This record gives sequence, structure tokens and C-alpha cells, in this order.
Amino acid sequence: MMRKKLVSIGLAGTLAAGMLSGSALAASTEGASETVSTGESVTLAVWNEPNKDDALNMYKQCEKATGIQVDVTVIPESDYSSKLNQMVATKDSSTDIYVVWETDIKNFAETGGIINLDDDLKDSSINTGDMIDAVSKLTEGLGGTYGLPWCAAAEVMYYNKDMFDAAGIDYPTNDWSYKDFKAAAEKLTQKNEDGTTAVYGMDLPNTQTWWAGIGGAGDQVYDPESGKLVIGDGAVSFVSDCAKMVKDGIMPEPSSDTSDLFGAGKAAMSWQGTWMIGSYKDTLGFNWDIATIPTNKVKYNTLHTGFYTINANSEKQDAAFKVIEYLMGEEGQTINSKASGNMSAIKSIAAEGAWKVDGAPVENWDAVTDALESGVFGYTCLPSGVTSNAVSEFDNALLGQESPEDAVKNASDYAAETIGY
Amino acid sequence: MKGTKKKFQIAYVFCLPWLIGFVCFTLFPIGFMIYNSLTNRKLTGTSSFVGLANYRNMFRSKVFWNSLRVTLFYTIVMLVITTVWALVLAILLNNKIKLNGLFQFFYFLPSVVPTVALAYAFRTMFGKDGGLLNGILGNLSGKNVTINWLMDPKTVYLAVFFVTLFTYNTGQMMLIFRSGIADVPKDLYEAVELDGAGSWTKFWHITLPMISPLVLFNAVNGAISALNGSFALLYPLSGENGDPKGMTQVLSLLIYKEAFSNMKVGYACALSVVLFVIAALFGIAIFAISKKTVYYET
Repeated sequence: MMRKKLVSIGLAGTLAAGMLSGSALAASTEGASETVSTGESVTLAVWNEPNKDDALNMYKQCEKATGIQVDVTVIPESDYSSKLNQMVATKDSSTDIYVVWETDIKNFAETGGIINLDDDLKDSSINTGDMIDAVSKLTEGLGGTYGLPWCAAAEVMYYNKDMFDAAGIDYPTNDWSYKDFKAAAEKLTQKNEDGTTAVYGMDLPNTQTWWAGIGGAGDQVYDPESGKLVIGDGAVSFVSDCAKMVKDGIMPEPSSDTSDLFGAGKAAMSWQGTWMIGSYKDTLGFNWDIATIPTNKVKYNTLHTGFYTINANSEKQDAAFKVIEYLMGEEGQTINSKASGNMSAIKSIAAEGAWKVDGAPVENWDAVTDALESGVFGYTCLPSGVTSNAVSEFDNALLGQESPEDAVKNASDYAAETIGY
Repeated sequence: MKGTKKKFQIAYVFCLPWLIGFVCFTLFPIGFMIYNSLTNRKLTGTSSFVGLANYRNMFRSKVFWNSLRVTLFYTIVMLVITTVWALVLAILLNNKIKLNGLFQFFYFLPSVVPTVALAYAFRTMFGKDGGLLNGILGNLSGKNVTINWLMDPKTVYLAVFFVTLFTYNTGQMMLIFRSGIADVPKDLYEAVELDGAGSWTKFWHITLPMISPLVLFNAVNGAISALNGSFALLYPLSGENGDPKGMTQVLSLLIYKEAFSNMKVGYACALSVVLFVIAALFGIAIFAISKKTVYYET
């Protein structure tokens, strides 16, 4: 009997000790984590995957700082705008924060799909007076602040330093002219014995940088007043130049398997977004650097951003604003810049230089700041069907299937019948 | 009398599930589409009545007329090619040879691959620089072959119609033809063989008339599939603009582009109404032709 009592006391003691040690362990684990969960959660829709490194994942860091769980819904870029439009149309409430593109913010604000943030901003630490001018101008005329820019990105020219060295050509500078560029592209082109091209001097412009070339050749591209596509002589001139380069084998012709020839070491120069710096730093097997897109008649490139907005049908608008406040704050913006290579649209934060991606072999970081200064919001404000149609027309001209004049006219005609619907 | 009425009522009750489904999922969407075609509805849901403005704009648009031409051309050619190919395969499979089942498996296998995946695979094969087809042609010819299959007006239709041979629609047609050919009474063949008929005569005067109801069925299905299902095949191959020069921009691609890239839902609905009418006309035309050509055993 006594033995039984002793055993039961022993077991009870062991259990109590176990519980105590368990709670002590739990307490120590909680102490190790900085997260103080508020039990709140918000859902955020965006087109790019969050960084896999937790330290560079601004959403994870936001959770730690605010205690609000951030569920990220990644929607593929090709369907992003149309999915968000459908969510607004159906008054979907499953997503609290939309990262909205330039082309959509006005429509969403006008249809009441997103809320006016002015009241929240009054008591907020976000300094809306310190935004870069182009961003401020873009949202003028909406009757209030409906979105806050998650970053500001521009377009630059990437070049293969090894190929420039081999050809004995000086590296491009930020004051390179378009003539310098064309002459270098010709010299950098390497041909096979049968006359085909082994290495192109310049990669094909992509859907984004066609507009840098057209704007640089003097066209307005996008008229903010009328919201229309404005292309003409500049587009004809740039498309003609590209068609000639394709014909001479300096630039590849458009094809169904067009890939990143610059990244593959088969093109000496390429015009792309600044966000490629982060990707290229780990993948390119040659020496490279950047410069601004060469100046033709004017210095031109397109700015890119997205706006943090709050769904008007969200039931968690307060929590959503707290998350946005973190993401727009110094810590959130710095993490975003480090992860993506994109500059903050808040000038004082951008000036700290977190966007200079660690480990990238870039020496000419001024190219990014110069590009942002000369950048404008252009084709990104137009419906994607209009711009993709135009790029198809330009491709037709490059393939010799129609004249550059006809390509530009067809693109303009289609834009005219589409915009203003 | 009372009993008959009750029987009818019960019959209607049994029909009700189908009727509800038809009204909710067919009739209402068609009505809603027609209504929206008279508005300037955007993808965000805003909308106001604009009368026939979408139709007026459509008939003025050269993009629409090009798309209409491409749609008719694509539908007719695809219909002929896939039906003939399915029939040829079915005839080959009806020959009594070893491993017949294996051949049928391999012929049918591409048909069970989702169309989008199939189209992306072919897009890779048709690539100019790294494409499998150019690689094979290069090895055979000993030259550097760089045919821009999907971007060259001379080759794009060849490439696109080649892909249609491997779609689910063709595989399904093949199976239907095969079962039809197997059911043709053997004594008919034996009778004409006694008269010295060759293979072609047997096919033309016995096989084809006997399976003509299946040809009609496959033709109607094929036409509707070409009109409505072409999107899944052509979007991955040539994009929403139907490159090159809009040569592959069938109406279903244009509808997608207008609704989801340009956010013009009302206009896209007007285009859909046109597509709906074309599909109906194709059906009517095929049935009209079939009255003279289809043989039904009574």
C-alpha cells in the first residue's frame, strides 16, 4: 500500500515537473521570438513571390513587427490585372490589400473598389510629402490618396564588359548617345562563317523597353491628360532602326522561343528593368555593368511601380493599414529595396542606398538614380491589350511583314478604337 | 383523363433538374451576354446602356473583320483536316494486324494531354533557335535550319494545323469512327468483293455511306470545338494578338483580349454574340448538307 502511494506520488511529481519544465520551455521559446501575435491577419495580393530568405521577406518581418499575420496571395503577372479587376467587380472581400498597377488605380478608385487613405494618413508616420515627383503626379486628380507606391523602378542598359573589352570599345556611360550605342552594337556583333550571327550586339527590346526606345526617339508615348497612346514619327524611327539591325544580324529577330540572349552570353547589350540586377547577380557567368538607356532625341525610360491599396470590401481595413504603414516605413522599404533592387519611392529612404543590391558587380550605380530622374510613367498606364498589340505590330515590322509606318499606324488605330471605351 | 394529367406532371418533375440547369447555366448566361453586349460594361463591373454602339464599333473595326475571316478559315480547315485524319487513323486501326491495341494507344495518347500543355510543348518544338523540329531538319540537311515556324506567315498555318491533329477532338473522332467502321456489316463487303470491288470502291460505296451519321456527328462537334475550343490551342502558340499579323487571331482570342486585357467586357460580349451566331449557322449548314448526304438505315 505504502509502495503504491510512493509510486503515485513519484508519478505525480514527475508529471508536475514535466509540466513545469514544459511551460518553462514554452516561455523560453516565446521569449526567443520577437513576434507578439495580435491574432489579426490580413491577405495581400501581389504578382511576385516573396523572398525566400526570411530576413529579406518584408511580409515576414512585418508580421514580427506588427503581430499581424500577412497571408500573401501570388497571382501570376500575366493575369494579375484582370484578376484584380474581377475581384473588384464581384466585391470580393477575401483580399484586404491589393498591390495595384498604374493602369488600374484610377479605375479602382472611381468604381469604389479601394478606399481613400487620407484619414488614415493624417495620424500616420508615412511621409507622403517626400515621394518622388512622378509618383505624386501619377495619383493627382483622383480626389485623394488611394494608394501608396511600394517602390520605384526604372529601365537601364545592361552590358557585357568582357565583350566590350574584347572589341576594344570603351564602356558605356550615362551620357552615351544613341549614335554611340548603334555604332557599338555593330562592332560588338560577331558573325559565323556562314554569315549567321553568333553574338548579337544588342538583344531585342522586350515588351517594356520598346517604349524606352520610342520615347527616346521623341514620341510622348502616353498622354496623361487624355489617357491615350501617342506615337508617331519617333516610333517609326525607332522601329526602322531595329528592323535594320535585325536585317543586318545585329539584333535577333522575334521568334516564338525568344529568350534572354544577354543572360546566355549571346548578346552584348540589353535594355531591361532595374529589378533584373538582383537576378543577374547570381546567375551571369561574365563581367557586367549597367548604364542608362542611351539618349536619342530625349533621355527617356519608363518608371514602374505598384500601389498598396485597401479593398473597400475588406473587413480588416484597420489591420490592413497597419501592415501598409510598416511596408511603407523605413524598415519595410529598406527590406524591399535590398530584396528587389528597386528604389523606395520615398526620397529620404531611397537616399540611404539600400537598393544597391549586395553582391552585384555594378559599379555605375548612378545609372539607376539617373534613370529614375529621367523616367516617366508611360505605357504602364495604358491597357495591356493596347501595348501588347503594338509590340506585335512592331515585331511584324522587324520580320519584314509590314513597313514600320504601317506597324505604327495599325498600333495607333487599334489604340484609338480601344481607349476611351 | 386525370391519370394522364398526373403522368404528365410527374414527367415534368423528372425533367425539372435538367430544366433548372439549362435555365441557370445556359439560357441565363446567353441572355446576360446579349444584355451586356448592349452596355459598356468594364471588367470592374461598371456599366451603362449604350444600345448598339458596340456592334457599330465592331463592324467598323478592321481587327474584327480580320478575326472573322481567320475564324471562318480556321474552322473550315481544321474541321476538314481533323475529320479526314481521324477517319484515316480509324481505317488503319480497323485492319487486323498485330499490336493493334498498342497502335491505338499511341495514336490516342496525345489526345488525353491537356490542350494547353500540348500547345506549349509544340511551341517549344517549333522554336526558331532551340526548337526540336529545326534541330531535326538541321541534322538531316547538314545545314543550320532557322525556320521561324510560328512567326512566319508562310509556315504558321502549317504548324498550327499540324498541332490540331493531336488534340482531344481528333482522338475522340478517331474512336467514334473506329467503332462505326467495326459495326459495318461484313456481308456488304463480301457482296461487293464478289463483284470484284477494290478497297477504294468498298470505302466509297459501303464504309462511308454506312458511317455517314457519324461523319455528321463528328463534323458538328468538330466545328463547334474549332470555334469555341481554339482558344486553348492558339493562345499558347501565338498569343492574344494571333501572331504573325493577326493570322491566327480567331474570335475567341479577340474576345479574351478585349475582356481581360482591355477590360472591355461589353464589347467582348458583342463579339461573343457574333461567335454564337456563327456556331449556330455552322450547325444549321452542316445539318442542311447532311440531309442530302447522310444515310440512315431504317
